Amino acid sequence: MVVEEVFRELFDEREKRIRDAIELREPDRVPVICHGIGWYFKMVPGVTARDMVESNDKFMKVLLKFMLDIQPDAAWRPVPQDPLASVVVEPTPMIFPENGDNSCEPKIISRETMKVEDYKFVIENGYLATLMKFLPELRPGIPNVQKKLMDKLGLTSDPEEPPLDFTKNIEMLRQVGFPAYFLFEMLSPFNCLTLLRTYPKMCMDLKRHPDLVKQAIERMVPEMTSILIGMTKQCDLPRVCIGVHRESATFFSPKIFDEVFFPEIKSMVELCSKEDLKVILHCDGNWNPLLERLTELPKKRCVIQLDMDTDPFKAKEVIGDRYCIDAGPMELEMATWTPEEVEDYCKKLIDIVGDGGGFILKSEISREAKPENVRAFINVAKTYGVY
Amino acid sequence: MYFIGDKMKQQLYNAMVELEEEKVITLVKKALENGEDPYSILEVCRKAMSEVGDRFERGEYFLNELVIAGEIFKTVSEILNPELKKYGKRERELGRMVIGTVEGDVHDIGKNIARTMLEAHGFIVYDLGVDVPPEKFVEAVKKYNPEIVGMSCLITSAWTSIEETVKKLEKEKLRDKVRIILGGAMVNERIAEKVGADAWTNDAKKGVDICKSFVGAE
Repeated sequence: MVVEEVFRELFDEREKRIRDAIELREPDRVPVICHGIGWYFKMVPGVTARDMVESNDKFMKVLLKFMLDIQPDAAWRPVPQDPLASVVVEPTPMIFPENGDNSCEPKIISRETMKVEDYKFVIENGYLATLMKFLPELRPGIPNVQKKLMDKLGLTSDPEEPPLDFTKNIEMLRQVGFPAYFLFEMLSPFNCLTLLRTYPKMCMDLKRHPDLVKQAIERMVPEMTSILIGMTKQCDLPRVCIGVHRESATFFSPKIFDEVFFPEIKSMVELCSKEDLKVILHCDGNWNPLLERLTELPKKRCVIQLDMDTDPFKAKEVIGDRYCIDAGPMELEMATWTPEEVEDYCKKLIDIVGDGGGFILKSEISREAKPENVRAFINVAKTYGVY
Repeated sequence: MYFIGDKMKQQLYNAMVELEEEKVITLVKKALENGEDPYSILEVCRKAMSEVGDRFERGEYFLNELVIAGEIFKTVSEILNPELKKYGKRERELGRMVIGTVEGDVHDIGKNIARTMLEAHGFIVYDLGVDVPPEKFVEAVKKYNPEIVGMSCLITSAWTSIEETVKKLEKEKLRDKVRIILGGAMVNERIAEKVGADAWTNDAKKGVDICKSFVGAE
C-alpha cells in the first residue's frame, strides 16, 4: 500500500470515529483531541511564540510535527491566531510588545471599547461595521487597519495582500491523515459584545438596558453565523465551533440565560444545522444549572464541550442521550497532575461518559502542560477507550 | 453624632441586597441630607454587601449580581467619600492588603470581585491592576506595609511570575512580614505549595474568610 493510501485510510478512520461519537454511535474507540499544542513549538528550531501567531507556514510546521508525534484524532484549530483577522472571532484589544522580543505573544487587554450609546450603532449597522468602527482601538498602531482587515477577509476588490485562505492548511493535514475538528472558534455575539463593553459594564447593561443588549444580539446572530458558515464551507469542513463562555452560570444567572442567551444559542445552532453543519459549543465555565435547558437544541446536532467547571458525569445523565459530550482534564490538571492521575480521571470519563458512545476525550494543552501527561492522556484513549 | 434611623436603615439594607440601584442612591443622598453619620450609612451598605456575598455563596445570587452589588457599593462610596473626609478618619480597618493580577495575565474579573468584597468587609485594599510585575508588588509592600498580598492568576503561564514575586519578597526580607494568598482558576493546593504561598482560593467569599483569619478577625 502506498503511503498516500495509508494516510487516506487513517483520515477516513479518524473522521468516522469523530462523526460516530457526534451521532451518538459507538465508534471503534473513544476519539481523543488536544486543545492547543502548548509548549510544542519549542520542539521546532527557529520557531518563536510570536511566529505561532504571525506565520502560517511556521504554525503549520509545528502543528504537523505535533500531530504526527502525539497522534490525536483531529487538529483542534488548524489556523494561527492571525493578529488582525482574529479580531472578528474575538474582538479584544490586542497589542504587540514594541521591544522586538519575538518570544512574546500579543497582549490581550481588557478595556471598555464600546460605550452604552453604541448599542444603537450595532443594532443599525451590524457586527462587521461595528468592528470597523472600533478597529483602530482594537488593533492600535496598524496603519490603514480597516482596509487591511477587509483585504484579509476578501471583502475588497483591490487587496494589497491576499485574502486569508486556510484550505491549504486543511489539505496539508489531510495529506498526513488528520481531519480538522473545526476551523476556528467564533465567540458568540454576546461574548463579543461583552469583550467590547467589559464584563462589569455588561452586568450593568443587562440590568439597565436589557432590550438594547437583546436587539444587538439579534442583529449580530445571522451576520456572524453567516461568516462562520462561509469560512467553514470554503474549507469543506463538517463542523463549526462557537464559544459560549460568558453565557455560563459562572458569569450570569440562569434567568438571564433563559431570556437572553438561550435564544441566541438556539438561533446559531439552527442556522448551522440548516447548512448541515454540526456545532461544537465550547461551553467554558459552569453549565451545571443550565444542562436541562440545553435539551431544547436539535438532537445530535451539537457537541457540548465542557471544561472542569461543569460536571461531565451529570452532563451525561442530563444531555447524554441528545448530544455528544467532549470533556477531559484541562489546563490546570494537565500541568499539575501526575500521569497516573490523568489516566485515572480519563478512565473514569471513558467508563461513565463514554458508555455507549457519544463522548470525545479532550484535554487543554498549555505551555505548562507536562509532556508525560499529554502522552498518558492520548494513550489511555487508545488502549482503555476501545469499545 | 447622628445614627441612621432604623426604618431607613432597613430600607437601605433591603435596597442594596435586592440590587435596586436608584433606590440605594436616593436613600443614601436622603440620609446625608438628613444629617446622618456617613459612617453609619457605609456600615449598613457593608452589611448588605456581606449578605449579597452570602447569597452568592448559597447559590441564590450569581456573579453578575455580585458585580452589580459591587458597582452600587462603588457609587455609594463615591457619594459618601467627601462626607467621610469631613468626619475625619474613623473607619473600621480590618487590615491592609496589596492585590493584583500577576505579570503576563490580564484577567481582572475575579480580582475586582475580591477587592470589592474585601473592602466591604473593612479591608483597605491597594489594587495594583493587571499584568503586575514582581517589582511592583515589592514596591507596594514597602510603600503600604500591608499584612496580606493577594495575587490573582488565570493562566498557567503566569505561574512563574507568582514564583518570581515570592522570591523577590524573600530577597527584600519582606516575605515574613506578609501572608500571601493566591486567587483564580489556575491555582490550587499544589501551586500554592510550589510557589510558597500561605493560602489559595477560587472563591471571593472564602478569600475574605481566609484574609480575616490572617489578621485575627475571624
